Amino acid sequence: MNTDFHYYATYCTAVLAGYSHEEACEICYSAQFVDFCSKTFLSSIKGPLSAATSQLAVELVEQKTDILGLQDITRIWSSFHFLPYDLHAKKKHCSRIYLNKYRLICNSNGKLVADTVNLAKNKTLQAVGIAMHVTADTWAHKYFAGTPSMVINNTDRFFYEVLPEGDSYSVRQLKFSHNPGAKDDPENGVYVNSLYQTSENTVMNLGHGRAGHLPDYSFIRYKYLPAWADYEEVLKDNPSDYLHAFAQLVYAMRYIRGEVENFELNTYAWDIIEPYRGEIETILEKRQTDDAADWKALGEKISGKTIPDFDIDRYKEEYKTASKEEKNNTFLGKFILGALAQKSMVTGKIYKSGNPIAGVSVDYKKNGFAGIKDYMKLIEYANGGKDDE
Amino acid sequence: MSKGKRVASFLSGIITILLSFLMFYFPKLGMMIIVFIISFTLLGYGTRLLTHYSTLSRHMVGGKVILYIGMVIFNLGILTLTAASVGKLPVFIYLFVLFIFTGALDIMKAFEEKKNKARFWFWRLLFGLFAVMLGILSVVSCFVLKSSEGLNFLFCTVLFYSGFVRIIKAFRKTAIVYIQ
Repeated sequence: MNTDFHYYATYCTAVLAGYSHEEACEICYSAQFVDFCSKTFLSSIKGPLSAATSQLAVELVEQKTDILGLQDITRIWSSFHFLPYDLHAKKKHCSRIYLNKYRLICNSNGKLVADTVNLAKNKTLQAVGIAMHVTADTWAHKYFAGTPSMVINNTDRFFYEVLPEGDSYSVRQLKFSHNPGAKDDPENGVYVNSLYQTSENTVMNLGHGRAGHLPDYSFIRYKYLPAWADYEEVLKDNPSDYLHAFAQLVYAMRYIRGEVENFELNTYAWDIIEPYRGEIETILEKRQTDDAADWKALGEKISGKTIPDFDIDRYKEEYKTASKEEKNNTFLGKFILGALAQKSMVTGKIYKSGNPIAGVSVDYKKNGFAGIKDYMKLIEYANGGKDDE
Repeated sequence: MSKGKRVASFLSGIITILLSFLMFYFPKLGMMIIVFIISFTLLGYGTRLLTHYSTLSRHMVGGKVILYIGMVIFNLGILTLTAASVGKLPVFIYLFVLFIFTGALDIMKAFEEKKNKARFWFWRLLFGLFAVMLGILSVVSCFVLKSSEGLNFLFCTVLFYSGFVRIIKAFRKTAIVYIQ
């Protein structure tokens, strides 16, 4: 998913869930900012580097893939972009080292989705935005893991686009190139992906790199052989997945607002989105790599307000000029707290499941504070990280 | 590439170049050094691939390729180790196959890169042609010149070239596709 969904479509879902225009703007900004909060950005504002929610290409190029480097990558990508579906998944006759990777495969409606949404309840709008990004990505990025792994994330030449034709459908084989400067060409079915490398831990095998940007495009349906699926063909229906993501975000935010008592998995706000369902489906099916303009128009139609364009520097000065005591109450300060909480929660769950790939997690309640100093902020967060309204 | 890998690449480049000078000035040690370098490199890489297959890639779609590559490379390592006692001919043949294979691979990759409009494809093509030329030279050295000194000089050249490339790699900018 790109700016079109994480920013504009998330704005639509927030307004439909009952948030005001101003609140929806903060939520969608936070959801989109998850893709931009890199260590490079945090360095520029002198923020805690542990709050990074994404990695730039240049950071990945320089990233070590030794044990500590892999843990750092996994914490970021599993917590914010490839939320694991089942941390206790079983697979017969495989080694522990394989199982640890297999258990990080992302999918929608996993238990961690409920944990993510619950973590954002009664917290800031920034935390809500982060939770919406993570939840939406479980639909787009399903079947890939947020850790570099050839044996999980690799794809091969068996990769076909499924094109509906009335009641039937046709297929065409997709081609991939590895030129970073090239653009995807949906008309001719040529997409850019990362290089095939037999090295298990290279960043080329991180997430959906081997499938290119296909998971990020709402219009496409494709079938392929995931590396982990024992030669079973998998069909990825993005228009359907994105529609489910949209309806689930509305439902999740209604729960966070207290309009629904419990957050249940596999539950969607179909009734709320019904008046706009036709328009939503039209946007999702449109064969274009960027739906931002269409989502923006729909969002402005729903709220009757103008949605400002996303600007990565919008809240930078506020954070930089705030005093040390006030930083946590700035927009970026609240985002950082929300990010640390999400990363801490997911890393803790992965570690507790007996999986060391994301690193060690120390239980504060049992053992007190230990580990990376940045996470001290979480104690303040637990003691009242709400908006000062 | 991380800073550590850049430093490692630079240092290994320097060591490789020093080794090539050692072989050049002490040609009697040449054959032994050639065989051991090739053999242990192949054995190490083969072992790494076989371990990967047994623990991970046997569960992967297409994972048997890793097993086959690992087996072939490991066996080549053993074969090379025995080549020292057999004589010079197997080493010549081995070098011929190695250079022709890597050269052909580089040439194929160069054309693939050209098709994908990648930069620097021409340099890869040149490296490929150079490797093929070395392969041909190893045959000439064996059957025409009939001298291990030629082979020694050839390997010195290759080592020097390899060290030089490693040093260049340490300073080269790298670009990858990044998916957000």
